[in-house]
Amino acid sequence: MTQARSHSRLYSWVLLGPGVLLLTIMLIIPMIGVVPFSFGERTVSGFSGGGFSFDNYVRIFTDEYLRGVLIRTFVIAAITTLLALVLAMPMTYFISRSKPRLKGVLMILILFPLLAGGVVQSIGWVAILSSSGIISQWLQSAGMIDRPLEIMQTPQTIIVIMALIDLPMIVLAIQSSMDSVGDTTERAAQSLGASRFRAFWTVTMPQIMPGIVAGTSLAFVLTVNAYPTPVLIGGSQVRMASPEIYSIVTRDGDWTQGTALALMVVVLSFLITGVYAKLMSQRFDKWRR
Amino acid sequence: MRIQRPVLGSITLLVFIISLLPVPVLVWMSLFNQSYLVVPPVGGYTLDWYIALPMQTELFGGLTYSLTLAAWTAVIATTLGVLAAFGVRLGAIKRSGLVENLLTLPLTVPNVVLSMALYIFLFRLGDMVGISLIGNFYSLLAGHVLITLPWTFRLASAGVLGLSEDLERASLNLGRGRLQTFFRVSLPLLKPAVFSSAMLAFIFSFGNLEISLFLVAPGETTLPVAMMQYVETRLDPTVAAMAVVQLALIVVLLALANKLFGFGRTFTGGLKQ
Repeated sequence: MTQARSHSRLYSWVLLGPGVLLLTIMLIIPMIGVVPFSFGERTVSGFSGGGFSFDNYVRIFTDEYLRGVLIRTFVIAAITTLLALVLAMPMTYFISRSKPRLKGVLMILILFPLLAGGVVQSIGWVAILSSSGIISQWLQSAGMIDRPLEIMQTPQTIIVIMALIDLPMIVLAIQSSMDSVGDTTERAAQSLGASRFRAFWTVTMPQIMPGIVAGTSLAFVLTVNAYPTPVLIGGSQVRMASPEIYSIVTRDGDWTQGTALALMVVVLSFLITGVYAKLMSQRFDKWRR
Repeated sequence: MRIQRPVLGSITLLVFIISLLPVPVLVWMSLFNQSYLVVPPVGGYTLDWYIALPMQTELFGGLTYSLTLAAWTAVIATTLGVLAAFGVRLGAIKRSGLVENLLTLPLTVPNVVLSMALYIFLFRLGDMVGISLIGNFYSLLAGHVLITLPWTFRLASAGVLGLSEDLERASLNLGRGRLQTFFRVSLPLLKPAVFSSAMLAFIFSFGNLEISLFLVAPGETTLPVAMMQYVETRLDPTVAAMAVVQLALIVVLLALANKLFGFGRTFTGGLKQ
């Protein structure tokens, strides 16, 4: 090893040091630190009463309510991600083929919901959709319905709203690959007689696949982790994991069950996105050949 | 432009309108001259709710607290993100992929879980050393830096990768030290990426609810926490006005950022995965 090389290695670590240190002390160690609690016994005086058992994990699958929360969370996240992808594709295509000035404005518009944050957005949606909300009142005064509209606290509404919130993530992820592909190859395919759709599907699609996989994985995880939207829109009817973890700890004071559910959610979402990425890359390699 | 642009354009426009719908609705509601939600408002319109906002101690206190927190978060997360981006570019370390994964980890761990884990960790650490480490500004700041770091790192990385090494080499060849080259050549060239990172960190910290849930102290809550607590009991023009103030702040920041250093353009390349 030359001296210059070992020098730049040293610089590299000096520069990376602060960030890596912060993440190790404030994320890795705390996350590992909660693992023992999830195997502990419930106590009123601290985080865990000690002991070692799988009870908290077993309960997640045997308790009908907890199992419902877990399954519901992942099913809603999958459907939400799919819907967000379907909406994101034409939008990304449009944005990516726009002139630079318009593109900048469109990107800010697409980012806006993400930047505004889930709390403000969800409060707005409650005002629009709740049984005493604007749409319900309009429909009632127009005589189209005779009872207040009950569309809040349903999985469908949550899915639509969260898909809108996920949209920016997927667009951001696909856009870079869509830009680098450009439309020349697609046009070449068309001039060789392929239909517009076929040209997009067989030429552009395989090339933007990595972006799609990355974007949908992130959107899926973010939906699994969502907090304000499930609380404000889903309420007590459509319970999802993050609010449930918070409730178990703060309402029931049960840190052991809370940490077990939390770790289960983290592990499952890592597993699911990992398998998904693997399967997609296998398919996608075949596609390219 | 072979695929019908008008069709794609209409879909894009429609989705934009729907996803931005809460904004005009909140503005409208914040002007109602009545404390409940009846449309159209029977009492007409007023600006009174905005004038009365400073009297809403929880919400307004949350606003000032969140602004301070977001400003500190932006400074620290951007500094760490830019440093790390340069560190990765030097590329002299093995497993830089691992480091990059580590730096984006806070995005994929549920923020509520992260908040809880941090709370437990700081509580026990404080217990060991005999001082309370939770329920203060610094623990909250640590959490917010943690969740904004993936963004500042990615934006800074995109900027750093686009940086030509020739200029830096020229400066080094002309006898400037590494430090001087960094501050007088690299950093000025990176200005758009640095400011965009800071802007994004500020806005994300300002709007994030989850990471604060376990870390806020009673009486000293962030704005999103205060707003969640408020709407649990009632949805009225006051909270709508607060939301509008928050949205207006973001719009002003974005417009400023776009004018001064092309914020929208830093995203047109998308975010490299």
